[in-house]
Amino acid sequence: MSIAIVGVGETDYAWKDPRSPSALAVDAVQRALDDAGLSGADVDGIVTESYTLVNAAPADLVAARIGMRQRPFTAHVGIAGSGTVYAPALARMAIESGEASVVVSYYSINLSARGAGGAYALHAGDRAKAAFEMPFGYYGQAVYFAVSAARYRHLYGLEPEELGAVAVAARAHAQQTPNALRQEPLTMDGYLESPMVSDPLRKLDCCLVNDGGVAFVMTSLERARDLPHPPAVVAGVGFGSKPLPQSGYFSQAEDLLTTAATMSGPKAYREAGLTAADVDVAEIYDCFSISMLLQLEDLGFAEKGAGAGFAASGAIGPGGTLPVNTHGGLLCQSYLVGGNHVVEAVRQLRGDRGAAQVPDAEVALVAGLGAPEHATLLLTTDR
Amino acid sequence: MGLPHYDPPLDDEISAPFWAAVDDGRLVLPRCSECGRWQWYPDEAGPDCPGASLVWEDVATTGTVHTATRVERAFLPGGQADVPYVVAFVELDGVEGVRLVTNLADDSEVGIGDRVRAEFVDFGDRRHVVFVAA
Repeated sequence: MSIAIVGVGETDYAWKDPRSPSALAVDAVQRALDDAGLSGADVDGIVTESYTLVNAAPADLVAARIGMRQRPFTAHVGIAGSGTVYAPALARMAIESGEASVVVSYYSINLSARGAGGAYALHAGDRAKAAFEMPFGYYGQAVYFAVSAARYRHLYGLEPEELGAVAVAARAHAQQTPNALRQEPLTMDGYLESPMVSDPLRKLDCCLVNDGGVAFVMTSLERARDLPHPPAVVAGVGFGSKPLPQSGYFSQAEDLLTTAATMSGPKAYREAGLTAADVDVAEIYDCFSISMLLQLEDLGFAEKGAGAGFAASGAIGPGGTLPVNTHGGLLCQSYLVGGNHVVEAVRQLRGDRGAAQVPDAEVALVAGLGAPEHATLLLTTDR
Repeated sequence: MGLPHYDPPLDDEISAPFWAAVDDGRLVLPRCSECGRWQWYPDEAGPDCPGASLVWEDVATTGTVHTATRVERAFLPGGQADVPYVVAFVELDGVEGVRLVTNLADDSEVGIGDRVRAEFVDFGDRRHVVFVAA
């Protein structure tokens, strides 16, 4: 049995939203159900990311507020992007086994309410980081990824303009996305004037810090065909994790220049019977420009070390050979941890994206990163 | 070039041996009492060999820079006065499979792939370890 994504929803994205993550999640789920032509009473399953969301927007609370009458299936999976992107695999297991018939997944975040330390303080409670990283100033997610970018530059070369190509492309996509938070035009000169954060990453290599919620609704393909929108078929899903705890991952991984997309990607491609060459549009977790480049390589779109040149060729921008992050991504649309990437892939397959539409998009790849973990999702039109 | 200021938790059994050694001008790292594999970072779950424990051993104070970044924006609380500083991963001689996260005293003459040695510097109530060209 195949399943499909039949409804997508996003809150209005904002730099600051006074609502709690639970309230943001409920808003997003209600919009996704409305989009699907379903109601909370139709939903009998919930799958969410496990690391940050279980306490922030608990399933029991969201289920009650959206009007679910029963909840025979609830599951939580993965760290950050690996969880939001792998959620359809668990929904599929539940729907195929009969545990559930309509499964909702959501992600929500309120970073503006975090207070002192903001988004960085998430890691300060880790004993090993407090003992062996913070005393050396290895702190702040940008610094974790800067050491990978510096190593990449050492081994393969990495011009500022190659990283800048990622930021400029993301902005160009965002300018065609009405709900993207960062839309003002960006030139390469503008990128190069952006302040250095941790060499070689500049401010514009870093994701946004904002508030919002996102949700999507899944059911069997058979049922999906009776719902208002063309189904986005879940054609392949894979999950992978390097054998390291998150605590030491960013310093101790054997190879700082690969992600676990080398594991999740082949599984997803195999299951879907597709290859990188079949992908029309890709939505790839871009917490930082360099992380997107590494995944491009790990997923077969460029050889290791060639991703930067691939991006700089114009391939990933609007009208390119592989448009990437056609909503502006985490860099320019919203920091919704890959949930927004799933939503964008669905809209591209529906042909709903207006000026940002990739012509004849039939195969969309979504990639979600979460420290040692990674998930790859292949969605297709109903063909 | 600055250095970050953030005091490690010295009363945490996970971290106390490392920082006590630094105060003494030495580097120690933990390894498995059974198979000898280095475990960095140590954690409460201990090594993977059944019945084994972690044993802290003296290690070389020389090594090779695996990667390094000059941090220009302060993320640590109150860290604005400390930037810029250089974070580096050093692979210590004879210590397979793990990297020390540390600082370079100066990145103008030391880069990725270069040989370095540790220097122990007074840092208020404790000592800190930084690396310089070997």
